[in-house]
Amino acid sequence: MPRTSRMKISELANPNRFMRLATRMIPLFAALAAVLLAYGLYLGFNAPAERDQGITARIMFVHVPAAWLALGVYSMMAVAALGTLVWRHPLADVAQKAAAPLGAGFALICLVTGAIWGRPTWGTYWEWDGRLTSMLVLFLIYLGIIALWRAFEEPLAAAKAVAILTLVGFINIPIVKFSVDWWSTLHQPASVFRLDGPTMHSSYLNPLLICALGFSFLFGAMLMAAMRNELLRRRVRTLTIFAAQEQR
Amino acid sequence: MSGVVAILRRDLALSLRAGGGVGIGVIFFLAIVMVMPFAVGPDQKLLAQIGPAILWTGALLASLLGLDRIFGADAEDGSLDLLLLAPQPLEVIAFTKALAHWLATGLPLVIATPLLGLLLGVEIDTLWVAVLMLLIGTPAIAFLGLIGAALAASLPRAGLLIAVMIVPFTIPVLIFGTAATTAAIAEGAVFGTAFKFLCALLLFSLVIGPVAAAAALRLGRGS
Amino acid sequence: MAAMHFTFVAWAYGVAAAILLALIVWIALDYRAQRTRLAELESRRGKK
Repeated sequence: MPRTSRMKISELANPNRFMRLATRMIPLFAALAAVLLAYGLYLGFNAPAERDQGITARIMFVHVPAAWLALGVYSMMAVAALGTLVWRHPLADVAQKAAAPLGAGFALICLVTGAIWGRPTWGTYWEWDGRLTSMLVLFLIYLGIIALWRAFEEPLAAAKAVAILTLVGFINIPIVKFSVDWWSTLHQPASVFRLDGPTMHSSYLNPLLICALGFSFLFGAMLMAAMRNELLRRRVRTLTIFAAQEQR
Repeated sequence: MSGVVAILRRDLALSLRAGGGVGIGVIFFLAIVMVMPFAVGPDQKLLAQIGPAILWTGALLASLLGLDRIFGADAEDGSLDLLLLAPQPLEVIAFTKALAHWLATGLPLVIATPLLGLLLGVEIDTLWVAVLMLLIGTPAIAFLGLIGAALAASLPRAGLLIAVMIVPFTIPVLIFGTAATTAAIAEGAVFGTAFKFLCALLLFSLVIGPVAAAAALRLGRGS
Repeated sequence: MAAMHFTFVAWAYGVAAAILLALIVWIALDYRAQRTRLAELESRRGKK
């Protein structure tokens, strides 16, 4: 997923420079996202109807990118965690903190759209199918990370703890995915109905990829905005502490 | 080596003291097992069928909620800072503390399992398998939990927070543990796979637990 | 049949949009709150 801000990582180490860059990039990314999503959805809704699922298959244009982003954002957080622990990049923990609720949001979107898609397909709103269940566990991991951020008074102390938790989670996610898949085949010997269809025709694949790209740019815009907020929040906190000290 | 043994003895002694938490974990385990039939209904056949699952869930929850005891007392009275300065590698110290914690809280759960399993009407043969599988699974949970305990070492009343953080990582233990327990008698092939992965998870946790916990403790105090 | 299924599609996109909108609104409100607070604090420091 292209995010041009990452290519200039060393130049962005200065928070002020980042803020200025963010102010320019956020509207650009948002505009790109809007254009891509509009085009992708237009293509997607005009693709020929699938024999088996008909119109409900169009849910995939939001469900599948959400799944990719939920996982992609976590990977980004893991890289940022390394940035905090190993390379000591000053903006790494800000990126981590900002990304967590966004990733959780995409996981939630994936789960809810998956459930809604499942209703006409399976008959129930929820099936403990391997992939949705793994996404549910990923959502729980996100919530744990957010909880840990909020448990500390000082954001920098939290950053290191959260970095470790994120990396431990990153190692564990394949293990969880593997065990959940094993568990779901154990209890459902019949082949699990794949939500995105047995094969992907290019008339569906192209809109899907365009939407995925659009959502990625949307994430990029939200991330930079949230990082900006976090930097402001820390400045406020520092000034508040100074003010309290001066009043003594 | 003697330092490590000293830590082990100290932690065990502290746990066995009043307020040390040895009994309360087992009582909580009993509470969970007792509560399930009220929720599910006294259908003997159903309870016997889901019995192993209830035992595993109870053991998991009872283990998770006691995790803040690993470093909680030490953080409060300053012993944690001393441990960080000790000559032994922090990973070894963390390993020892997890071992002590499991001996004091996890092992009693395993010992209580046959009695609680009888309440649920689980067959004797399955019960013995359950005991064995829990003997492998509870230390895995304890050593994974060690990571959460270390991350939250400086935070007060972190019991629920640690449980929430660690639960996702214990799901594989739960999956393979229950599968091994229920499949041992009837389905040999499934048991084989599940047992292998359960053992693998234990070994994995024995390594990653202390390593991550030591890193967490160092970073927590270093800043 | 198709009309019934369209409801599901509408709900799915609706919920997704709602969650994204909630995130965006939260980010925007947070931005405003932080800027206001920051201006407050900096003006107070300036007065010293």
